[in-house]
Amino acid sequence: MTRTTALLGAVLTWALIVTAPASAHHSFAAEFDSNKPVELKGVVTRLQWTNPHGWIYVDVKDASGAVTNWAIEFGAPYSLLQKGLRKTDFPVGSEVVVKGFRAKTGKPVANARTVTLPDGRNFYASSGDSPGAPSAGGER
Amino acid sequence: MANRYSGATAIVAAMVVIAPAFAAAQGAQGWRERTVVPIASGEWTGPRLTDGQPDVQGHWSNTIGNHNNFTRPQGGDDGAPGGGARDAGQTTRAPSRVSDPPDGQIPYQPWARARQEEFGSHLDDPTRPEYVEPLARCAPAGPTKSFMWHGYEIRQYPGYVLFLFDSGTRIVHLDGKPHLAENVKLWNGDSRGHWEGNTLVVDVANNNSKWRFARTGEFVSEHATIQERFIFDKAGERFTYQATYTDPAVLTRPFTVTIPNRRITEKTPQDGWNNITFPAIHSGTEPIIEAYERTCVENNGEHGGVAVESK
Amino acid sequence: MRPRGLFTLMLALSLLTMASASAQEKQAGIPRGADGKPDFSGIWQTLTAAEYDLEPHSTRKDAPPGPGIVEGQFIPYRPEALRQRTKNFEARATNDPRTKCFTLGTPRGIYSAEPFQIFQRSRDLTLVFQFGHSVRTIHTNETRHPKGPIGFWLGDSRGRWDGDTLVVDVVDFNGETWLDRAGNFHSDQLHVVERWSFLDANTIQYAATLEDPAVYTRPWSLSVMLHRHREPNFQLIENYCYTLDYDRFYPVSSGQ
Repeated sequence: MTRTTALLGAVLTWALIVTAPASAHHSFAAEFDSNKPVELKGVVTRLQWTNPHGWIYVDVKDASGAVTNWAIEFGAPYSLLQKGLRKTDFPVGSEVVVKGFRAKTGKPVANARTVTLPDGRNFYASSGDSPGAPSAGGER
Repeated sequence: MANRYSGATAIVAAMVVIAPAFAAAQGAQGWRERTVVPIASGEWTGPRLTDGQPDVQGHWSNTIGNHNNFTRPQGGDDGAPGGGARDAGQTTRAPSRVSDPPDGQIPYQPWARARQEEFGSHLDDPTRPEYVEPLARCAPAGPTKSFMWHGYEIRQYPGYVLFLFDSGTRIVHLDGKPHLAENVKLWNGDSRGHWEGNTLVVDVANNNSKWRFARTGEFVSEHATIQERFIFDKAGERFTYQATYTDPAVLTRPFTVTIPNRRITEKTPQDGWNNITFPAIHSGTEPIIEAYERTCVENNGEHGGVAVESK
Repeated sequence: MRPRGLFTLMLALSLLTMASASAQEKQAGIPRGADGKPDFSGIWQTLTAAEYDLEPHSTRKDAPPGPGIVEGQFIPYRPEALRQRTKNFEARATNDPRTKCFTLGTPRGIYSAEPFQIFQRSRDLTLVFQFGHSVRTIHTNETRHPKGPIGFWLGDSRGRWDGDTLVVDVVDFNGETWLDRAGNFHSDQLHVVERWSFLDANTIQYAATLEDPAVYTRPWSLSVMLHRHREPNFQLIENYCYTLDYDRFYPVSSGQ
């Protein structure tokens, strides 16, 4: 399956990525900057719907027409499912609008606060993880 | 893409969608409590399993807070900007999860206090791998912190009590078999228990020392032994988790952790945090809730460039 | 009661039990729960080499030989899936999801090289696999699969009793796991039907039928025997091997 191959490729690529600061999923404030809000409109290219965070990858076109692929972190799939949001709501090729906060590293990575789907439904999508995250259904 | 909804329908649709999310946010706030309801050890008068164990099976979650800050449960992780400021405006705070000694602090030897503060101060700027909180890498949370994260489940059988967490599984053996050899070190330890009335008494050994009590960096060593008491109330609605940690390598004296817990039912708002259950689909009339598969795999996946420095 | 009287009583009771057992077509001599259903509780493990390769194979540097556990010997792959299996096999040292160490999947966890424990009560069976300490719940409380797709690592399992056989329907997979170390695989369309029954009190006969229209040309079946661990004080030892990549960063001992 292409998706599996893509995921395997991504996992192997991950092993080669070196960034500072060293980091992984945990408190919002460790990875994302509440002073850097972003609004991203683009086309879904890939999904990684895993626990504890689902991720969607979105091609965003800037004013000049250049396309950047953004990685956007969502909350745990079961918490999204409780709100009625499923991975099938993000088919590859669909257009979504995500509001969130950019990664501290400045890379095209964001933590999603809200997402608007092609059919107009709007969701709080956050990982709602910790203080440091602007509250929007997030826990304290 | 053309908007398929009329304006009024869109507003109603948006309200219907956002309302549950808003309610869920309220749910998490509504679940959180700032006092510990005392529950005395004593007789059990509730339902029992066929082997005589008090039947306390079901879904539960702690009522105080998550693992951001061990001794100030509504505080933020100390490394976050404005961490202390989040307490401002709150007139009552939940007590420290350290219930003994009375000052609510872990009685650390100076070298251990320094190690703890070093970790806590780097949490939001983890320039070294050892500053990444292990739970963030999907490591099991450890015997105590497992009760400070998302809602979990208790299942019981003759000879066993099973705890199912998002972050791992604890099997408590009730048959008195000996502990594993001392050199086998485990994230969630090796647990042996027995019931005394309404209290499940558990002795935990084989601690691997690698997990932290919270994002503030508290820890104990591989020499730690843990005596736990799970004290269940008569109504079957609440229990108190108490754990006494003894560790002469790290502490100046033992300390005790107290974490209050409440039962999750079909009436508990789904908040994606304490209540991670869903209504089961069946033809009967009684409400059945179930949690789905508990896994954590992020430590091994790409997440958009935020990755651990490879060696 | 004197020994001879006791013997007579026990003989009479056995005959009575056997008579009623045959009347209800129930197996004698197997553990049963309070609800009368066979009780599979215990720690189980296969003796086969299926984890290395489900199909018959001779010795390899990384696998002992084995006669295979697939009914009809070979898995009926679609042509493009067979090519994928070959690619998987060649890259197995790095691409086998087992090396990521969080869970083996279904049915791979059943015939893995490490034991698993079944905890059974009326409403469900809880399978705790030592590898990854991962947990699969088989619901036997007449509940149905949730509305999918959700995409589980181990699938969603709902079981019902057919006499003394537990029949389990498993659906809604995420397609991320393999079936063994040799690259045999499935997609997210996998559907597994398991049959669990006792051969005797210490041996389970496990059979699974797999269908996956994206990968196989037709459904196919495998079967293994599972043996009860009876060593005194035997227990699972938590195996969170995925933490081995990083647990060296967290030693905390006195003096450090």
